[in-house]
Amino acid sequence: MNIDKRKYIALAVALAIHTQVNADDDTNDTPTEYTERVQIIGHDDKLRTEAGAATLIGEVELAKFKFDDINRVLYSVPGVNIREEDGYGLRPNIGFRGSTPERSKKITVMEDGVLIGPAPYSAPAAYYFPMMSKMTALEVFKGPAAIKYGPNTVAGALNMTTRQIPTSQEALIDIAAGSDGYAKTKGYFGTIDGNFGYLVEAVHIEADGFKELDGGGDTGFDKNDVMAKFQYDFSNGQYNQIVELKLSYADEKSDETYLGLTDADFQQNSNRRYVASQDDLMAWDHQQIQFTHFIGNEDFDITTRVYRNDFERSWNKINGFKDGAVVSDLQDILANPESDANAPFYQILTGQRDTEREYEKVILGDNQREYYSQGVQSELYLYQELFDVKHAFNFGFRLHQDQIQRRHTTDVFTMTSGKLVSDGSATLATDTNTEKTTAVSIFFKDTITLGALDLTLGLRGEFIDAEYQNDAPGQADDWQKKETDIWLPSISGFYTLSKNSGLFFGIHEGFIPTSPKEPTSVKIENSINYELGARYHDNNSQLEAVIFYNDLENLKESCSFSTASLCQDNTDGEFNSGEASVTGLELSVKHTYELSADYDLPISLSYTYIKGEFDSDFSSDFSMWGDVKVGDTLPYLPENQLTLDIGLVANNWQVNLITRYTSEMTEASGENVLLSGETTEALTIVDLAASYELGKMGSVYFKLDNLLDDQEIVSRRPYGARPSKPRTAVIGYQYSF
Amino acid sequence: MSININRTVLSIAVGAAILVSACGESTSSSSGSDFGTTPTPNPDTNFNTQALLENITDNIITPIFEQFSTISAEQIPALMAYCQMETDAALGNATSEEVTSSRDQAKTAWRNTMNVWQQAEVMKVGPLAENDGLLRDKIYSWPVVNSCSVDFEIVNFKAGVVNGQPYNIANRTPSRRGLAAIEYLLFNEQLNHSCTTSTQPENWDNQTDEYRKVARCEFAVEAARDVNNSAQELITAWSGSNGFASTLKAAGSSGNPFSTELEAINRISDGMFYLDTFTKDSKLATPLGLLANSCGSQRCPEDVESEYAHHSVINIENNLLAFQKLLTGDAGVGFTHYLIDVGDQDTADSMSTGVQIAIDDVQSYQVTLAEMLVNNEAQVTKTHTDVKAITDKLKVDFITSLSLELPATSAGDND
Repeated sequence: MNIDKRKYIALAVALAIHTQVNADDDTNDTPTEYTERVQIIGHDDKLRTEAGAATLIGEVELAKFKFDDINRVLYSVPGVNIREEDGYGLRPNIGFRGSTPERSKKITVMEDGVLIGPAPYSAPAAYYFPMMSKMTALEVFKGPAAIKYGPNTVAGALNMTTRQIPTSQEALIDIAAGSDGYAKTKGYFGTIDGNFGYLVEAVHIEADGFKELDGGGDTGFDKNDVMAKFQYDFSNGQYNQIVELKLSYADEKSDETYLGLTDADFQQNSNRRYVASQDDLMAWDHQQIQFTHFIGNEDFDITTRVYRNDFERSWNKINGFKDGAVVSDLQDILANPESDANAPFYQILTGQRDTEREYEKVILGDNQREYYSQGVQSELYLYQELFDVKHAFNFGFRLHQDQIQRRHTTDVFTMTSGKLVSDGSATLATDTNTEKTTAVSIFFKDTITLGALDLTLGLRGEFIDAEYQNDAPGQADDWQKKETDIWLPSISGFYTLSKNSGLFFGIHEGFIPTSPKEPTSVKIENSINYELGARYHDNNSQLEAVIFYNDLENLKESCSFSTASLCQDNTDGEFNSGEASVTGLELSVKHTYELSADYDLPISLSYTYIKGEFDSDFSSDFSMWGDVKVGDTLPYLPENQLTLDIGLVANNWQVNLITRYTSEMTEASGENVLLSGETTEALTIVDLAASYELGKMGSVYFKLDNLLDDQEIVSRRPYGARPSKPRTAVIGYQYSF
Repeated sequence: MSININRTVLSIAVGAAILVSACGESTSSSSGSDFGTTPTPNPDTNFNTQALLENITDNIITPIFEQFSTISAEQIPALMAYCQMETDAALGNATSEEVTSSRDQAKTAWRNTMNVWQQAEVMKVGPLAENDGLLRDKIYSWPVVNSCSVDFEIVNFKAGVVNGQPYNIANRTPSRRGLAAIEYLLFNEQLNHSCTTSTQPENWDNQTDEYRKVARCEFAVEAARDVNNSAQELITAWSGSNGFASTLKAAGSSGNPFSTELEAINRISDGMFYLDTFTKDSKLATPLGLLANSCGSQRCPEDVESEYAHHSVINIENNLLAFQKLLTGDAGVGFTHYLIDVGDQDTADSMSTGVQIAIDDVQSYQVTLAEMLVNNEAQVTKTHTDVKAITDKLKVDFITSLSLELPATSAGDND
């Protein structure tokens, strides 16, 4: 790795601050527990005084609905925009504050505080996403709260927390079965023996799928996740000191496809799947090893993590038709299936017609990729008084390396009597390349307490060395090495009005790097983000309201197979737009009505208004943009989102009903691209969950996702209209011991 | 809590100073010689690429496009005259011989138009390539042709209304108009509609022969006018100070979409791959059964290009003639000169010779391509082999020697 002078200085400062740690200062309210460093937002039942919008969804909240689909969980968080795809959330598309949700590549995704995307710098599209069922908490950071979690700071960060080793023996078995062959088996066991503790957790989820493949066949998935944690507590009177080893293995086989439906077929049967997708299969496995060291007392604490994630996948799916005298496009075929040019292709996709011409042969592409992501990161909290002013310092650095190796191939098939049959031609290598990034990141935050005002100055540095190499035969000279350095400042404050309320503001610079393959003509995404908010907290009520304005100097997007069929010739190619801005309001209200000594009525409401638009005219080949004019809206950004969660909680049972409204979304911003003028439908989904405690016998629960069985087109990408999940019933049993 | 204001201000000032001094982004890179999509010229040559662009643009492509505009205009009166004769015949005012003679003249006008167009096909550059080749398809959509759709279109045109809107051929999809539609209307002897689908033109087969002949020729005239309008559109987009020809010739200048002259040359070479994708694969390999066809990858005379006019061989000949002009520069600077300049005399010679062999070969055909497939398949196979010899050189030696990029649609084939 080539680390220039600025990076040496940054590292030297980091080490200097580490060595300055001492325990002389007398400060109060200093977190010293390891658990509070694993999960970032504190659980304290009091007014949070951190500036910046941050949301915690804890274990109790998650247990209410026991969602396997992270999309369904995140709808409760204001400022989150989601494009659904497969109905199960296998490969979610999540954005914050108007960032493009495509494969969640513009947000920083972490598990237990560590980057969890397959290659967050080199290929940020999160084709691996941790299993929601094993998470005990979710944290969402936006605004300046996100500055310490890079590399992507334009939108924000999502941290998912896995189960911690319990303080005494805990065990649980959870089994469930439901519609469409759904089955879940989950269990964990954890205990402490003296200073040694461990936890083992395993989850298996499967479903036959709710889609109906023409001619029959599975459309579901099969997922496994096994995690083990081992911990040793070295704490003494002077320090708390803990080491922990986390090992994890996960795999998935899903009969998923990028092929959707024509709008007309969607209206007939929204769950239909065309026969041309019969061989589509995603298969992946993921391994993780993570070692954590924590040391601290009431004056300081340092958390250091060493991590390695390996991810390997094979994604074999219909890419389209063979190029020739007629060049077809799957998105176009499904948008205009009756045109003379497209009708024969549509008939082949649906098995009504056999392949006759060379250009009517079906191409299946296997996008095989191997990723790794590894690094070491350390974070220091230090509480000191300088110049008679209380400072809470937070400093961290990370040395990270990740890599993606693409070994894409295609095979050619004919559609013959409703079956895909190989035409006998050899497998053809397409993308064969490697992208690799080594990055040093540092951040520094100092929170100064000035009476009622907590003022935080922050600074993040990213120093990225990126390499691209074409690995195809004869392409040794197709390579690039690129260095990107950036400093990202932030300033934020919280003004305490009373013990229950306060105001906060924040300004920070957002950044999203370009991939190693992109030439320097493709600019980084860069923004200045502003937010202003108010927070209220008492025993029964919580309120947070934030208005924000993201001023994007340059919006960057990338082309992936999941974006459009046109992207196949430009996999992960990137595009610049020019200026854009996103304005919005995020409102989150919670209140619990105590109906009687035995009954509570908790209500929470989350509302988001977002207006994202381009501030300049431009023309782009990117399929979500096209010929854009000032004022055109950003794609896949619902203007209004509302989530209302109402519960009735008794001593041994509870019922919860969550209603989500998402307004329509533009599928392409400008003119002259295929989905110009198209929008998704506004959608209201109601989910119901109920549970009953059986005392020592455990508990039973019942869930009804999409109670009203309302299915609309949630997206016309990658190729054609796709439905939300239909009504699904699940019944389960949990036993703890 | 007491606060020392001065020190507080100092703390903030220091922090702010850190922030301000820290701001900024820098990116630098180094790359290999093959990185990036913009082709870079062979460093061992001082070839005058501007001369190549000017000659091909001004002396080869522009004359063909202009010729097509002229000849497509001449097709209109020929078709109108034939249609008038059909109308007169329906009223008993013209003899069948007069109708046949007039129709033959119209067919000749169509053949003349198609001959020029088949040369323009190999020049699919700029306006003909934009919007996924929409303008090209409006003029000639083959192999996306659909006679049933044309049958519907005759009825729509006759009614003057389609989908509740006044009929306007300019808004109709390419396979319902253009030279392929005119071929069907003019050369097809079968008066019944050709639809085998569940939806069929209502009452068409119940109409009198005279009604159907007049309806067909009237739509043929409309289609001919539309082809000429498209030809005018092509000329407008190609010629003039802001036309694509000027853009090509000014490649490399400030503000030009082509950052180098070689990039502009690459667009012309992209167009020349028509000989590979269309001529070799679709016009020869497909009916030969070397590639998938409607007969199940066997010899398939039904899949030749010009099903009704039996013009397939001449189409191939015109493709080759146009390719030859571009390759050799005709009387000016062409790609062979460039190849020789970069030291690849062998490719220049073998491609020039190969094209002439293929032209001589197709000129020797005395029967239609469909008939030759049935009677002498070996001859058609030889034609395919001749053309393949050219395109094999085009894909590898030609592209490599001139530091050009393959067009996207040819980058992944299995030849």
